[in-house]
Amino acid sequence: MLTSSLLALLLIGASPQDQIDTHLGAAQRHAGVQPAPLCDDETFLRRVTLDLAGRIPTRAELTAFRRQPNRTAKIDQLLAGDEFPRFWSQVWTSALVGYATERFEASREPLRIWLEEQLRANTPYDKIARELIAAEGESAFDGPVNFLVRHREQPAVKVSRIFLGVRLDCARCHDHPFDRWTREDFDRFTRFFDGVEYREVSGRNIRVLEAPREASEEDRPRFLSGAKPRTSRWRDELALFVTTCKPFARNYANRVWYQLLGRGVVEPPDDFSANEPSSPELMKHLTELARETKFDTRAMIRAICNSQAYQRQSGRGEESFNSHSLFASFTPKPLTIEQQIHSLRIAFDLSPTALQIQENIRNAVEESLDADFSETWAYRDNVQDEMSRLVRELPRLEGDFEDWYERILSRSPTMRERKLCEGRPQSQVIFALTHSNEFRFNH
Amino acid sequence: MLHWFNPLAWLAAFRFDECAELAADKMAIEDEPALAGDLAGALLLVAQDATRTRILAPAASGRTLSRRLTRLIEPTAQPGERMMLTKRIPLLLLLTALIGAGAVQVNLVAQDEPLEAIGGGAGEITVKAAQDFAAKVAGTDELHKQFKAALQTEAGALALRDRVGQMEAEAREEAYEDAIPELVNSIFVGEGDKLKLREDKQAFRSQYLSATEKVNQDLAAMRKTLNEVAGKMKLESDLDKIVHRFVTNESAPIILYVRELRPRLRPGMRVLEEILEGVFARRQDGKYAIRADARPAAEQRAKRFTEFQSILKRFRRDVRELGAEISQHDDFHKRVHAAFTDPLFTARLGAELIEDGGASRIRAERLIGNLEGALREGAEGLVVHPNEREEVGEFIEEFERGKAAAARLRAPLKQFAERIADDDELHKAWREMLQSDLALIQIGGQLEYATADAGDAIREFLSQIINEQPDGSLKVEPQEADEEELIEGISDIFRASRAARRRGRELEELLIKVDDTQLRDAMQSAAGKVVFGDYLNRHLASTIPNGLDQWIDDHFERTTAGFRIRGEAEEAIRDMLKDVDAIKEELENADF
Amino acid sequence: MTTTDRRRFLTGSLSGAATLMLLRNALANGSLAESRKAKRCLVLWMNGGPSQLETFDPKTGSNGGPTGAIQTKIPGVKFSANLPKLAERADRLAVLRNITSPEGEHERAQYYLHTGFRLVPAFPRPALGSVISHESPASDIPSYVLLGRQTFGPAYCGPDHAAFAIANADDARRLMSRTQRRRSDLEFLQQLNQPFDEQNAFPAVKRRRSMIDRIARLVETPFRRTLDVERESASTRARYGEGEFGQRCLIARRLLERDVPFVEVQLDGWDTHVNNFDAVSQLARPLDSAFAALLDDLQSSGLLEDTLIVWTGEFGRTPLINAQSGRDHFPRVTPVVLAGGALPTGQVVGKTSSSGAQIRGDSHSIPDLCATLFQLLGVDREKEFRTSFDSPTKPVEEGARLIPAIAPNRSAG
Repeated sequence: MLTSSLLALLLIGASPQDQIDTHLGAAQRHAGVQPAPLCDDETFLRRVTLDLAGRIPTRAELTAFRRQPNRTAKIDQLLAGDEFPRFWSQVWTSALVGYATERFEASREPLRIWLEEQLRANTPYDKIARELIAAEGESAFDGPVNFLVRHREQPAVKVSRIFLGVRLDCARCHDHPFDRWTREDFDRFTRFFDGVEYREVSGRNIRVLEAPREASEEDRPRFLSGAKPRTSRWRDELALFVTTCKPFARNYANRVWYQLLGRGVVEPPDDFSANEPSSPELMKHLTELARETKFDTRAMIRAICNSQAYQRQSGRGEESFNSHSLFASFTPKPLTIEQQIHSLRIAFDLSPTALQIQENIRNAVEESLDADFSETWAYRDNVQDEMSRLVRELPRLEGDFEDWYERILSRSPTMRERKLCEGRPQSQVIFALTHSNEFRFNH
Repeated sequence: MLHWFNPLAWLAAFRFDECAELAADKMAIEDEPALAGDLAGALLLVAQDATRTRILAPAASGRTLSRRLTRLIEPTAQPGERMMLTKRIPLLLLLTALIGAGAVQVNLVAQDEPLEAIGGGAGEITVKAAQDFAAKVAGTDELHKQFKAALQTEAGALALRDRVGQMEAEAREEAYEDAIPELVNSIFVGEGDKLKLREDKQAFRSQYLSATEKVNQDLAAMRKTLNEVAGKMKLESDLDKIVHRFVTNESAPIILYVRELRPRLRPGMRVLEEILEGVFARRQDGKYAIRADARPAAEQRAKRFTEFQSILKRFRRDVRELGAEISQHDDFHKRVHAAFTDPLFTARLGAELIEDGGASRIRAERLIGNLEGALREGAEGLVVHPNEREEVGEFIEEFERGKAAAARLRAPLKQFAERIADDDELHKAWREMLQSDLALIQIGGQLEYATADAGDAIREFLSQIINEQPDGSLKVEPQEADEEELIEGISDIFRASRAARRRGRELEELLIKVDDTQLRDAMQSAAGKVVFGDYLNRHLASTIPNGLDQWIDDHFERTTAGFRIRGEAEEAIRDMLKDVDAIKEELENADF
Repeated sequence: MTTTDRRRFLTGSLSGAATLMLLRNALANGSLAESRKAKRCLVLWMNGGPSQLETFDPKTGSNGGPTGAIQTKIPGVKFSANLPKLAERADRLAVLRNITSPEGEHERAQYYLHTGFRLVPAFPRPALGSVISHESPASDIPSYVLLGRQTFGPAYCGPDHAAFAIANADDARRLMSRTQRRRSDLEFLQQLNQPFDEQNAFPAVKRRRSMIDRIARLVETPFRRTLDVERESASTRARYGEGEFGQRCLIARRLLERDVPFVEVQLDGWDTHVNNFDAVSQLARPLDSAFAALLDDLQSSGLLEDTLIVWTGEFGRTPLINAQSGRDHFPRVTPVVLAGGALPTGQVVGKTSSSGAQIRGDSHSIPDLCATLFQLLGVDREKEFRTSFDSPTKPVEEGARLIPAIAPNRSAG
């Protein structure tokens, strides 16, 4: 077995993705875990298209990829595409504010639109985070303020969770025996937000502004590192502290990883204090990668998607905890609402307007009970949600079940499936494909 | 504010539906100035203006409005423990914003275009903006170099934001100080020893007088109720006497009126705002703009509206033609006939089409077909089919109600439309749409209203603390534990009223030389001061200081080569650089 | 909701008497200790905040309003004249006049009354019904059925214990029968996808597979028929009232007969800031009929003994009448009425002042009320739950005390 310093030596000049696999390989060997083989091209195409464009591949894309299965080129193409900023803005928005924002007088869509613009312009993630933490403006028009509006009751709790992977919630009520953060830490961290004011300019338009603050030494806010603000603009300084510290880079890397691999190196992704990374070397590497690439989200995603870890077969659900936490196989993730809607659109050649898509999403969200989808990939639909999906009429499709398999599941049927589908009515086969876990999960 | 148990407070914290109801018939038809909020009567309460921050006036208000409202909702909450979480932020906050601009042109100081503007408020100074500024700094000595280098960093931009922010806060404070004389100067001009109304202020004059008249009516109604209450009050406890003093006080109830009652009685434009809330939001600058997330829906509406416009002429003719054939043998059919031949009715049908999928020619024809289906031949023309009578009757009734409301809506809608932000084609399309018959009848249909006057409102308010006794007398009976709070609340109002009187005297003195006696008397009256407060509010909100320019002017001189640090500012710049270094140092230690 | 929907109920009827007998026999077999606890809970939720003064706590004098009061079956106790049928049945009610709450905003108060905890968005709490569902034996029929619109999340009890919310029973039945028609499709779905599901036996995949199975089982249960009030006689339906609320209460009764452990029925429209008196007398009519019919039917079927009925809303209304003849929010007095169970009924607990503005003597908080309900329903209040963020918590707020007149503090278990 290689010592870590020797390993480091060997890794000089290796590509980021190779380094990912080297670290994981070492950890897997050490734990005696046998990694799954790489997935086939069709599975890869579906997986990466869902993850980067938020939908299943079209048949044309499938055909093209079968002809020329260049995975790296596909990743680059998707990252350069128009759908990437749209889909990842949805991903980040859900993590930042969840779906049920109206209840908190925040507006989800302006935030999403803003994030889409940032991703399109490839704004570094640390800059995005700074703007979110220090945001000022009106919620109906200025996207970023909606993050604070949504969490105005406890901004410190959300900021520390989403940007640092630190749960201060527990410290809020009492000093937690297993946690390093004390109630004092929590209180002083909270004080960074003392200057925020929320004023309703008009209905559903809340203006967030910052009143310059002064306070005596012992009343001043204090960052978790002990750093204190120097000027009267506390929140601005907090934004700098947060995005400069290492936990921020670590948490960001872990979140991107979590989004793609369905599980964090630190799991759950918002709790670094209580959980060790499953592979400390990998975590360290990803953290460094985040800083080296200057929080370029595309660069981070490119490295991860090109790794073998991302490209392994799924389907070892019954394996040991170690194999999951060391990413020996791919963990299936339920499709998000947006992925479902856009994938159905692809499968059935529908072309809804932007308004219809927006309404679709809103309707789907209304069916779901829980607002915060950001911390887990659990399947959360309840009986009624699922039932109302099951009874939805599906459009008819041309062709035979060979075509339907390609359209809906992005692959050809197996012998068993051919046999089973033979002679069945079209509606039944399409029903079974559209409602299959294979369709409803990214695997 | 009064007390947490006061239902008005609950009311304020919940969706203020009856506002809309109260509003309709009293809606300002003319261009009424912004309504003042809690802080408002601004004249009255400059010292408590909530647009100022706690740092500026910690003693005056103690806590910000939002904090105060938090306490209303949860009396035990510590300040800062949690922010409000009501479905809507209470009305009071809403009122701090302006409803619109344009009634008075306040051009106090002709502002020069700033030579080197690099951004607006302190919040907008980004590293990029700071770099732009740094590029224009000319000096080459160590201090200039350090300053330029500092501005290349986040820490530098932050320190600059800090300085500019403080400057703005100070400037804002000054603006409050000078607001009353400035506003007076913008209205009057000195001629000899007289103050004359400026020539371009005739419109202001009539608006001001009519607004004052309305407030006067309210105050009179309120006074009447107060006298009645005072006469019946039994004065036993100290508390009885305190409340009695309040009820009989000349000015204290006016504070209550401004803070609590008036917003409910005269919600003005807010009714429209609520109805159009799905698409528009009022911005800080008073303009209405389409919400970032409402664009797809707004675009669709606009498109359908255009679609409808293109078929409108023929559609109207078709409907009218059908209507002309309707029998007029009884009252019911006369109403149906009148509706069908009313141009607004076509608009009403158009609204139906637009709501329900679009207004293509085919869909319009189908709609006419449906209408025809509800009619059949009668002896003197078409009559409503008996099976359809109930439904048609309801529809006609709703139309008539909408039509009645529409008559009062035309002016406010126009006003709303004129305040739509001049952003792009979509905003223009909506401006046009909102002034159409279609908008008029559709929005008119959504207005329901009830009336109540200021006398009722104050009675309701007092009924929270005063109870009728079996012998018909009135006695103060607040909930037991809240006596202290009641006294505190009344004290607060008295304090505010004393402050208002002091400020009011300042105004009175300034107005002594006004030769327009009618205007002067109005402005010196209590009602006039309330209205003046509205103008003042708007004036204050429109005076947004440019802290950056001021800061630059204070610290730099402009040379042909660029900006150079002033000698007397070197210390301040060094101080700022020290902050930058300190921030950087803290950042080094930001890891944990 | 619409008249046509209602008219459809008016035809056809089938008595559930036989099933009922079977049920009662089954219940009789429970142990003695268990039989003291209520097995089912029915919440009648008055959405918007019901006026206590025009219902169960009428006042005279200037605050009283024009409604008037009538004598009830409990000596010396009056109800509002709006509730004649309930007044006659007051011996089967326990009227709580000393419940107080600090939450005067609709959503926060609704959350508080449903969960027993003040809203802290970072720490979502389950509704009472979700806890009961979680603590009840697994069943193919939902354990928490809500007839109305307003739901609160199951929080850490998990999505399996979310309210099965039925805004419109016909829609729900249609949904289930449409799903049932897909029976063979569902079977084929599971068969075709078995290899994938087995190969990907991750928790989320497994959960969805079992959800499909659960749905397939649910639509085969009598649940759908239970929602069909047309199976009741015309006279029964009339007794409950032909309106939405009456029909919902009738469905609730049918669900309780199926041993659904938690049912909530909502009646909208109680936010009477304007014209309180007319509005409440309109609302009280269906309330009076349906509540009375429930008491009668559950008593005659014997179910009342181990069914706990809770009537409440998010808060009470101000004793003082506003300028629009309305009453505003008044959480200080939050009206609650209990019935059934092995409750000491026929009593009024607590007292409000003659003006109605305050509670005289001992008052109880919302957590106290919840603790009492859990006690009556036999839920262990000390049970430790784990939140999704792995924090230990109990179903009732720390320090909540039982209401002695309702649930004398016996050691739990």
